[in-house]
Amino acid sequence: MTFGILLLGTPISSYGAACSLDWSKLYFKNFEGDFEYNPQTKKMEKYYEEYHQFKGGNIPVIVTINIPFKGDCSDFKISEVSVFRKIGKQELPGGEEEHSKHALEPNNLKYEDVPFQTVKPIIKRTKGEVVLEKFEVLKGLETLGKNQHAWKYRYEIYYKGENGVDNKKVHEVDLPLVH
Amino acid sequence: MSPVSPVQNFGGIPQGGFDITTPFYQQSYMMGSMGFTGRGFTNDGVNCLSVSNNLSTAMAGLGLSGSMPMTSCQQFADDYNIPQAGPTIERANALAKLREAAPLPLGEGGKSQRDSIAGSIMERAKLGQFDGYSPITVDPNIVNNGRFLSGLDTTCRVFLDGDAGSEDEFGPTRDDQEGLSPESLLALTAELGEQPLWRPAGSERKVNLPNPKNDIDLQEKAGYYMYNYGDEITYGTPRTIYNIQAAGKLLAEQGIVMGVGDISKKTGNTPGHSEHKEGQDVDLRLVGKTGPDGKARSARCRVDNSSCYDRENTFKMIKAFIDVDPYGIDKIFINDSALQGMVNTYLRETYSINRVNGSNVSRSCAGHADHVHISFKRHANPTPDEMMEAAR
Repeated sequence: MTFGILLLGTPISSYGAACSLDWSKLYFKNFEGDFEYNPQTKKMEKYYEEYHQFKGGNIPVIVTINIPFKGDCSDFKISEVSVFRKIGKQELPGGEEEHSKHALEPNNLKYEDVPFQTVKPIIKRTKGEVVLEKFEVLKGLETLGKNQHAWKYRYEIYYKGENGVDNKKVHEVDLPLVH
Repeated sequence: MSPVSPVQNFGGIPQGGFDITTPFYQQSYMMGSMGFTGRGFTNDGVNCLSVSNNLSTAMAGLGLSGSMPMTSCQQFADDYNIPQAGPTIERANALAKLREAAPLPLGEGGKSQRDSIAGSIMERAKLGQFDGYSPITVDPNIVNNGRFLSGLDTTCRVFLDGDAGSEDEFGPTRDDQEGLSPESLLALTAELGEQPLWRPAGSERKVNLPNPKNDIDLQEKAGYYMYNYGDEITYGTPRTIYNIQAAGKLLAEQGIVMGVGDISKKTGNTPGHSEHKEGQDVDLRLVGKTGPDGKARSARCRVDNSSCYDRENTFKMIKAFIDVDPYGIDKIFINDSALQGMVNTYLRETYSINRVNGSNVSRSCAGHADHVHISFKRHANPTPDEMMEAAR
């Protein structure tokens, strides 16, 4: 009986079924933060914005990837994260009258074959989130050719799944171009 | 063909020099040797006939008659890329005061004062830099002592276009009308210097907008703070940067601190934008409500969030940009139809600007529910077509 309990307890106490990552709630957070005015304190204070997309005019320099979880994820491991860009012209398709009524990404764009960055992230766990540090965002646009824009980033996250099996999670982010 | 809108005429140099105690449009004007009643250059050439005669007088007075063709007024305007309209009369009045308050040095490079004046005018005209509402380099002492009054006066009239007209022709007086007051313009010039001329897009080096950073006192004095400045999308043409600073000064007087976002990268692409490439666009956060301390600040907000968005204060911010450079505004994106209406009405009623490039100046565009996008015109001066269109 005692032996049976020990067998059951092993996977629970380590990484395994008890660690549940909610990939659907993955978001990005400004790593360095911006100073913002706090009307309560009447001071400029650091503010760390959260992002679900990187819109023109509000593109962070460096972000973390934050993944909410439940359970014990103390042994959760990520081997690396590769970031790919989907590149097209840095111009809004159609006339200006069209810019307010549909998704603006041009059709038939393809991701680059080679990632523009590959990160072996530092992993932190805080307040029910796995936090992966740290990913360049702005640089991915600054290093493009003339009049080129990355309309999407694709994050390929390689991690050890249950029973130590290698797994990959893909997360795409829009980078809407604005005037 | 319709004449140029009266409010766009620049009255030229008043006879006997500037009188800072009398409104510009009420001063008497020397008309050269002939009377001139036209409002300015028009495509039908009717008024040009008189101007052309004045032109001959003017050129002779300045010793320039042999240096340029004496065809017709219209031809002259075309050849030298002289726009066919000027500023509001209020602006002209203020500029006249400015010139008197701070005359630019003349007689540089060993040239006579007369040649210096004429040269300045001619060079700027040739370069297409005469936008009709930029101050002209004139020393009021010269005007006042009368030595070159005839030639200078008439020449300026030729270049700056049109007849001062009567008060009625220019509509309501300063007291009845909004817009930038001469006092405000004087204060701006004292602090920021002269408003730089527009140059063709991409033809000049961009400059960085001074950053008040996290010093709240400096922000309130400048009337702006900068967000996202770590991305270094903070460069603009000298005129754009001047306009932002000037608008900030006007807002500071009203207790408003605006949030300035992306302008342009110093060189190369400006990430995330289809525009913002040549330093002539600026993004601004929405302005929030006025607090108990009488201050209002921009913040992260959307137009559908009444807890942080104040339409009236955001209008004040846009109005400051319009007042600083009314004819330099190309478009204003903000996804609040009520605010668009306020802006377009202000442009129409205060500056007689109805449409630019066939569209309302203020309009909606995807992605502009959380900020205002202002574009300044991408060429040095308004084209004749734009001026005519704006006057319709």
